[in-house]
Amino acid sequence: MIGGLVAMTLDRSLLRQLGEGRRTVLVTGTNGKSTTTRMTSAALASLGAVATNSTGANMDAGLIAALASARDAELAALEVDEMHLPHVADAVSPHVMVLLNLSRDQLDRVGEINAIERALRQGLARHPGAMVVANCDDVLMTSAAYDCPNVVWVAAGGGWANDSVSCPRSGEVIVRDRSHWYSTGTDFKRPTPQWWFDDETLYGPDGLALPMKLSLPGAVNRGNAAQAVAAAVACGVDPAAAVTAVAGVDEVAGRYRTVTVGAHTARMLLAKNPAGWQEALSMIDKHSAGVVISVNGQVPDGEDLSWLWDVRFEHFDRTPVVAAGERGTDLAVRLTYAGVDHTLVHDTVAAIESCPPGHVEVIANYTAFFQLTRALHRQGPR
Amino acid sequence: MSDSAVRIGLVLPDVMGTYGDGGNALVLRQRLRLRGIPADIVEITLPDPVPAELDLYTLGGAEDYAQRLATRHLIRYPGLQQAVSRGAPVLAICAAIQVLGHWYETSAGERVDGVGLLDLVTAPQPVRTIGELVSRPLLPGLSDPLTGFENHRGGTVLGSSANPLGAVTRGAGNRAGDGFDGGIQGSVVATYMHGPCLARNPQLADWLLARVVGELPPLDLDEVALLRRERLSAR
Repeated sequence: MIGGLVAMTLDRSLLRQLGEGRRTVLVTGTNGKSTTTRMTSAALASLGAVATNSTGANMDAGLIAALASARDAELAALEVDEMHLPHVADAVSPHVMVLLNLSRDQLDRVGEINAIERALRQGLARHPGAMVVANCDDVLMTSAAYDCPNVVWVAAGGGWANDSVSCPRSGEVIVRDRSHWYSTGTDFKRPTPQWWFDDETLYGPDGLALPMKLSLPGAVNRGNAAQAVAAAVACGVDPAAAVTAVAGVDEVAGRYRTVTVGAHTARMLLAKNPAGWQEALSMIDKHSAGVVISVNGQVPDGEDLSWLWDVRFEHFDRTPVVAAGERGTDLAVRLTYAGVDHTLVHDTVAAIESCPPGHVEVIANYTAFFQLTRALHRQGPR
Repeated sequence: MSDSAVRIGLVLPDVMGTYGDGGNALVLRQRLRLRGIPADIVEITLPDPVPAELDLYTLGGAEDYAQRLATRHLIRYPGLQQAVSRGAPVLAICAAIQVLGHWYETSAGERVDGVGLLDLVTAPQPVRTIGELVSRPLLPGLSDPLTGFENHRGGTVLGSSANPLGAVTRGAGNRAGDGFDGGIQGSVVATYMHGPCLARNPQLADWLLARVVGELPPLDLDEVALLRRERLSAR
């Protein structure tokens, strides 16, 4: 315990020293951290060298490693675990903090969602000089940022409202009216965004309108891109250059990549929680030869798989679906009750191979994703 | 919705659905439909009064704020209480146990009056109990072990009018050390098992449905049987 405390104190001191003298952007939230950090880093690169934790290691050790491996970089783009943001901000005094979204992650491991919002709110209050780039479509993140003096609001989207029916500031009901929302308990409502987007264009302050066509799929990544651009612009990047940079990002630590598996090509999507699953399912190409959904229930995934019942699986039409992974049976039962025809093949590579030849969409949660990546690496291209 | 369809009330899924508990209503509906019996889910959300005339009801878990909103709503619109007084089955999961009791104390130490359908009270335990929960059913008509996942800080103590649903063989249940999970009182069945509970416990699902439609033919689903074997043998 004492050893742990010493190491922790040492870590914080190291973080502070390594963070000194840099213009740092911290990115936090339940979903989209790695993608938004990757995009922010790409956009900042037009100003100079950027230190970044591109492998997704987002707690103290990973941040220290990222900063230490780029000692001369004057800029940093770091994704930070939601629970770690307050003390990391204390250590590195960020120029910008990006708040993406908050929804239930793995509740058997982490605290419940309102406690995380309150911790973030208190953490942000200690950094009144920092610029906060916050998603005003997310009630919880809006609450975290609401009292900050310097906020850039971005309408980054929020498909998952299930965790914010009650107001985080009063406990009363949040009323939604199309994209607007407001609390019935206190003066707390959706702020007017400075940045927003549609299917073709990113809109910004002072009438800014830039065509934005991303390499990554899905509306959720357009939201991530909008926040990355807003953060980069807050650091002095030219808006058009920032959009060009985020549009070029086509892979994030192995995700969204298409690989060859025998007679199949497989696109790899990672999802870690109900909101992430809903997003990943919305990206699926319904004309593919098959969909493989691989679910594990190890500690990093969360051992409680009840979230499977919060995700809508009822929209596959005729695409063959294969349930896979160590907890594939839990998923198979979910699909049975959803009325989705499926097969159950626990081994994910075998599940891909069981599909008709052609392109297969693969969605996996954390350890299932990395098991598959390792298995494919061992097999090599065939 | 046809007139003859069994109507399953999913009560306040917008505030009481933290752990996939809406899945219980889905399991109930599908286990009827797979036997050729029409069934529909009626979602009752915060703007809606709670209807008293549905055939059965399910309620799920919630966090503090949401739990309080739900409690207030159920007291203001007492349709659930009226349904129970005529014997309609109710399945209450996790925080819903606490909401349906006499009172519960929040993690902030405040006592909130409950709906009063269950003779029980709840107060926070020193530590959260999280993990697989298994019990031997004490409800006549059930023989298979009950399996689920629990995640709660509230510790529940039953009064004399409520009987426990199961004797705990793994995990904590109502309150660590007491050895019981859930409660039965009249037509209300309550448990700390989420996951959702009925996906893993088809016998309990059919027990609830039989209260509404009478004896049901067997419905054996291979993957459900496999899931029960996997979860009951998991370390």
